[in-house]
Amino acid sequence: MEIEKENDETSRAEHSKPEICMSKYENANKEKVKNENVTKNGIKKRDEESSFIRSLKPKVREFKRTIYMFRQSFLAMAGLSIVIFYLIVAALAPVLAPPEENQKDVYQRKVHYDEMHKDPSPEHPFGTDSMGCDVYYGVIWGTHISILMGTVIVGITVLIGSILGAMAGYFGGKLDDILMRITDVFLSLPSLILAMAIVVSLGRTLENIMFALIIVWWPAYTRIVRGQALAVRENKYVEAARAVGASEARIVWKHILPNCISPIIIQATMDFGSVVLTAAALSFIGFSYAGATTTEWGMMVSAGCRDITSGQWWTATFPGLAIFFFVLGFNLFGDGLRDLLDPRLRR
Amino acid sequence: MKIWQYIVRRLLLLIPVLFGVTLITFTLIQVSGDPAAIYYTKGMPPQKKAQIRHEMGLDQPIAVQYVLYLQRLLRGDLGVSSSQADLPVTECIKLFFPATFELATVSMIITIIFGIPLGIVSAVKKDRFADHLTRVFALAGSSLPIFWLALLLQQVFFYIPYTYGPPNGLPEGWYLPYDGRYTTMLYFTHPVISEGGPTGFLTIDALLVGDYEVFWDALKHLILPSICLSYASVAIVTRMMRGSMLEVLGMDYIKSARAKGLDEKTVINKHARRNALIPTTTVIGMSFAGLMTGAVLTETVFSWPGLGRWSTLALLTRDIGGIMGFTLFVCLIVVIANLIVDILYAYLDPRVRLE
Repeated sequence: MEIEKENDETSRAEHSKPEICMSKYENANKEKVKNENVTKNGIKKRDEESSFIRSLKPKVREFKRTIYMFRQSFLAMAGLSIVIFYLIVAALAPVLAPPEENQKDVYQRKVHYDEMHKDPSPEHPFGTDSMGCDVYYGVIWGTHISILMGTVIVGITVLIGSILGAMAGYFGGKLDDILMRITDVFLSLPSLILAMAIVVSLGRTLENIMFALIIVWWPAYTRIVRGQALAVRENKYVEAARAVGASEARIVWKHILPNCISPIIIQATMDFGSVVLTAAALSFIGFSYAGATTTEWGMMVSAGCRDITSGQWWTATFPGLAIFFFVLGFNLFGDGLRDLLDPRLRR
Repeated sequence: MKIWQYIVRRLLLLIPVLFGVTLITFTLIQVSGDPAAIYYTKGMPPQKKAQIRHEMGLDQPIAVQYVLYLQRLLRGDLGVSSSQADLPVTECIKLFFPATFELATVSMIITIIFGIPLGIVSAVKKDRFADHLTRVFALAGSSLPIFWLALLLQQVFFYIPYTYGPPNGLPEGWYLPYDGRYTTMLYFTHPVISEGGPTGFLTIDALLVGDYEVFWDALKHLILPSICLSYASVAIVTRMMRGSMLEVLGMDYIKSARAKGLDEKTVINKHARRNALIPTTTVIGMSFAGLMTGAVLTETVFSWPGLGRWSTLALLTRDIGGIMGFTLFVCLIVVIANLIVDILYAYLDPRVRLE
């Protein structure tokens, strides 16, 4: 860290003396640029090219520094490793837990009434449940459903929330008032309970659970982006863009939104875990035995709920562990990203 | 601005929120299908159906229906809950709320007792072993599925001691009960349970009557659900307290307190903690919403006869009246809790009112 800091200070000193700074960069780049020129087409490149590289330099350095700082944090790296692990498991699911013969839907486990409540064994690493379904198969294929749910819900809420938020923050006035009153209403309600009400009125299916969570979740992003947009719109470059005649839509899309991106990324990473957690909770209370064969973690825990007091601990434990580490991974990763991207917490 | 002006302004801000929530529940009732369907019988002539719809005001324009709905709500008529044999929703709330409130209160007490000191220790011992341990504990709290934690607690504190104990069974008190509010057998012999008491809290009622057997029994039944319910909020409060404590400890007045030679204990307890508690009170109040959410899951697993289990039953049986009544009621509670927190915050930190 100490060396990092020193480097930083020297680089700042360089910026204050442009001539020295330039010559230094040129020296550093000389060999590289030369080599590139020779290998490409034998013609010496113009000076503009090297000035472009020069302008990229600070960005590259900043990026390297970011990576360095991220790697310094043990918890953030642990989070990233968990996330990558789940992605690999999801990708390798057909290899790790091949579907049985004549199984129509990979997300519906096959029922084997002759193999009920089997202890964990090499054949069934996580045992079998009260319908003879393999718990290991469910846990592995559950990653697919969880990642899918997280991506769809977070993706759509981020899109809706940030566009509305940027508009509210940028245009202000009536639109802002109305949008903020609406978000007030949504944010004052516990999300799980509102989602429950929506699921009841639409019917209990996985699609409706996702739909309910989208309806419940977007106001959070609207709030965040609106706050950021309020600050961004005061900047000179927004004024400049307006002065050269850029349309309002272009300003929002090209200038406001990109500058709100880091809080959105942080929140989205954290939410990826909590969305999956809430969806699991909803399917836990909403399906009970109804969805016992589905490879969704919440439903699997709910199917194993009554087994606990009769001794079959494995049916609920393994899917629960899967949820726990999934959410933990995204929370740690999000925490690490926040430490990085939030300049107030730097150093 | 005076504090009462602030309170009035905050109360006025509640109106649009409550209005919006009723709009949401009204929309959901509309979406869920024909509200009159429960009164139809097989082979009923269409004229009769139309008459029922007319009596219920369903043939009127949607805006008029909404106004009628609001009128009913203001009169305290929240409809009936079909999962509870068509008991009026208000009666259901009266029936189930005390159990949930007792559970939530005990969880809140646990949150305050454990969350705040853990946060302080974590901040004071920053980057040491105690800090790492607390942070891991707090991080786990925000990722743990609460329904799964409930099952684990049942496994560890009921099933394992019950099964692997001595062959004749463990003596009373070595394992914790895992469901309900009291041992069923006591219902028939103790009037406190069957008739209820003035407060609705079984533990307090039992104490008031002087029935210590029921008191111990109720207390034992409370342990697992309240630990389960409070874990998430303990985690949140710990993180918040750690953060605000670290912020306060870096301030100049703490430096000057140390510089003038105060011992560390006084600095932390008298100077730092008081100011660090201000943002934490907000979080504690906000965690009330989390407790209501958690209650739905905890009560389901522990068969706790409260609002949460009622709502789960309503969800499973598609009891629209019940779930909407529950949603409105929880919303009201959460909004009131947030209001109290805001007023408390304005009282604790006078700068808020200047905005």
